[in-house]
Amino acid sequence: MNKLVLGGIAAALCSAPAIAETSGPQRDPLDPTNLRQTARPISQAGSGNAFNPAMSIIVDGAYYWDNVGGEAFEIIEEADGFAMGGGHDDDGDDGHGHGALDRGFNLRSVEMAFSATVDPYFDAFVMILFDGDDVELEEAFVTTRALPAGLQAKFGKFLSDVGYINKQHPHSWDFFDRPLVSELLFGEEGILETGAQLTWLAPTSQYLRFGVEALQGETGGIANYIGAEPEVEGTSRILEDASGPRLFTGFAKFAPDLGFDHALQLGASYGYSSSFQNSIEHSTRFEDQEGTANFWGIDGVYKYTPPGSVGGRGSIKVQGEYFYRERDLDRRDVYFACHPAGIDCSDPAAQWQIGDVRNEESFKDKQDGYYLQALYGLAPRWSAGARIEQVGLTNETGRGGGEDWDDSRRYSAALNFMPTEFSRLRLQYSRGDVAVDGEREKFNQVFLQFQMSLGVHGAHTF
Amino acid sequence: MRRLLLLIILAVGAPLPAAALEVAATTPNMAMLARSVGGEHVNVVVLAPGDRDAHHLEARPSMMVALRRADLLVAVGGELELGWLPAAIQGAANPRLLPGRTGYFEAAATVPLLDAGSPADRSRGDVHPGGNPHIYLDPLRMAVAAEALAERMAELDPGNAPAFRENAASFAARMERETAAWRERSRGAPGALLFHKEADYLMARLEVPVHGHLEPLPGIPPTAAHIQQLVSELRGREGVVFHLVYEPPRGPDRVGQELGWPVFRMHNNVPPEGVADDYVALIESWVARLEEH
Repeated sequence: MNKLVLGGIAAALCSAPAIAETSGPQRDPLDPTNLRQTARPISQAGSGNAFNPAMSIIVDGAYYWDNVGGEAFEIIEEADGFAMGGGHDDDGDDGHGHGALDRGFNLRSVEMAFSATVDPYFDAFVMILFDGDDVELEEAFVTTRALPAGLQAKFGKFLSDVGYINKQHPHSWDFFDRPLVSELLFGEEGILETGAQLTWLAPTSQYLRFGVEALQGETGGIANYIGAEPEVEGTSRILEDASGPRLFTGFAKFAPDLGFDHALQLGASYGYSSSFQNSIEHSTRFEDQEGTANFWGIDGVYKYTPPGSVGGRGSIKVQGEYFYRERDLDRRDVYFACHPAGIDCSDPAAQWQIGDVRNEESFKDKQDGYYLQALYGLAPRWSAGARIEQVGLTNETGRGGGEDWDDSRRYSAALNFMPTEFSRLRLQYSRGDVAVDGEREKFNQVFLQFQMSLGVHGAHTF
Repeated sequence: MRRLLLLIILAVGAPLPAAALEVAATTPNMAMLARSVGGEHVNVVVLAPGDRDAHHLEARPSMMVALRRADLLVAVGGELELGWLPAAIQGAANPRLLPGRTGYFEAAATVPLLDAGSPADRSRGDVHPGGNPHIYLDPLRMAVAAEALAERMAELDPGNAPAFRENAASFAARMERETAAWRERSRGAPGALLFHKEADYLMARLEVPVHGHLEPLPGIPPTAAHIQQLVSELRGREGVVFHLVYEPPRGPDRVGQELGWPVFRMHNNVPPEGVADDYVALIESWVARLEEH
């Protein structure tokens, strides 16, 4: 019986025009050949070049304007409690970080991403970032394919999976700029480290995923690392060499099953840095800080897609994160020149000689911040978003006897237009209200951003 | 204590032979196919309902949960789910379902595709150079996919291989029988204007001419100029306008009004728990509209 039926279908499908008359209503001039025989022997229909890595290029630029002479990004970096001790940047750059733009037209970045399956055991991803004049390796990692029991390991340079937004590349954010809490507690690239990660997806009926990471520890805000510095005139400095990994994180993510229309994911994360070092060069002395740091955070994202939604109309996305950071530091200053500056060392008025130690103290910094944002699908391909941010709700730094600083805030609104999934235009307005040296510095920012993605645009995770 | 250990080892190491195959299907149509072929020997979970566009979904945690537990993934394939399925598989950490493995099944890979070999040029919209992936509205392609799926299930669960093959054959036979009747009924239908290239396979199967698509390019919403062009091309002719539940009705209504053609809001998927009867009813709903006009 089965054979007969199959034969019948085969005849129906392969009936060439010549024998069409005999096969009656099953004649199919559009499919003169046998569907089965012409089916490709591979199990996946695709169009990629078989062994080449899938490649995509994401171009991200913006017209930018602010009402403080283009200094808005500098003001943010000087936020009370978060500026690296006394306004001197220890790593010597001029304060123009990744996020900083000039007024006018800017090409923020061109990201080039390659992904491929290495062999039966590994997938690889490499992203190269062209950032103005610099070329840098943004991410390069392999993930395992074949580990059993829901385990997955990752090695290389990658964005940590703590929190929600940290893992995302700027092109998948809903606003132009990185949330203040991520930038000021961690760094201008969030937590981007070289290391290893192991995650486990529990075999439960609700989504439950755990992960741990061992990272080298170079992230400015929590794991700044300098290493041992040479002694000054026989006086050693407290900065010591510490081998990596120096930063360890753990996270858990939970997503209850809310049906097809609603999705919710809640996360919690913790991190510990075995070495946080900071060094500020004053006119006559090095100020060295050495200790440990830790953080914890919670994050949540909720998405609603109405049934039958067209182009995202009526969809809602609410997202928020809170992080708390604590640093436990020892400070010790060493003079490399006699003090006051410029004085002759034999002058009896010289208060401090080369190699003298001053300001030995131990203290804690306790700081936190959050952002909360929502995005609504106004019409097919159009969405509008709003974001509120606050950093320094707790803002205690211990240096120099301790200080309790004011908080800083930013409010943003954005309008997005996505002609296709490969291009996006965004108009964003931000109002900053930042505490700098006890004063409220306020500014307005406008971004008109364009983004396009060429090539195979990889799927985005939740 | 030793006994307990032994029990645990047994429980972990030896899955019960009677356990049903866990199947995750991307769309309700694929779930229907898996149910039709697998019968009582499979448990099927659907990743996404049929009331939204399978091009534009996102990988959600609930999908990863389903994929984590599945022995077999049944996808439409042909890059239809490209925007979310790879991420969902990646997040599920289930090596059995990786593309190329036995647990990864694409229906579109088992049949020849229309428009295969079109240029990979995105100025032509959201094109699929491998061919039009929307094979699921062609009952005979679904029949072939069912047979291929039976072989795949047989590989994963050899004990029930005869049942899978028998189910696939009877599904195929039913599709063949119904298709013959559907073709008879829609014979002479003046043609249809579609929104996306969603029902092209069905129209070809029924030998009903497709007068065009409301999308000027695949994935690009209808524009006033394109609608005007369609209207001027088709004025004075007969036909029907079809659009899917999740496709905006404004363009179709406008064209229908100007041409005096009836406009129908159609489903392209069975309900999430759908079986072969629902699939037959789904195709019936299209045929009935063509037949009446």
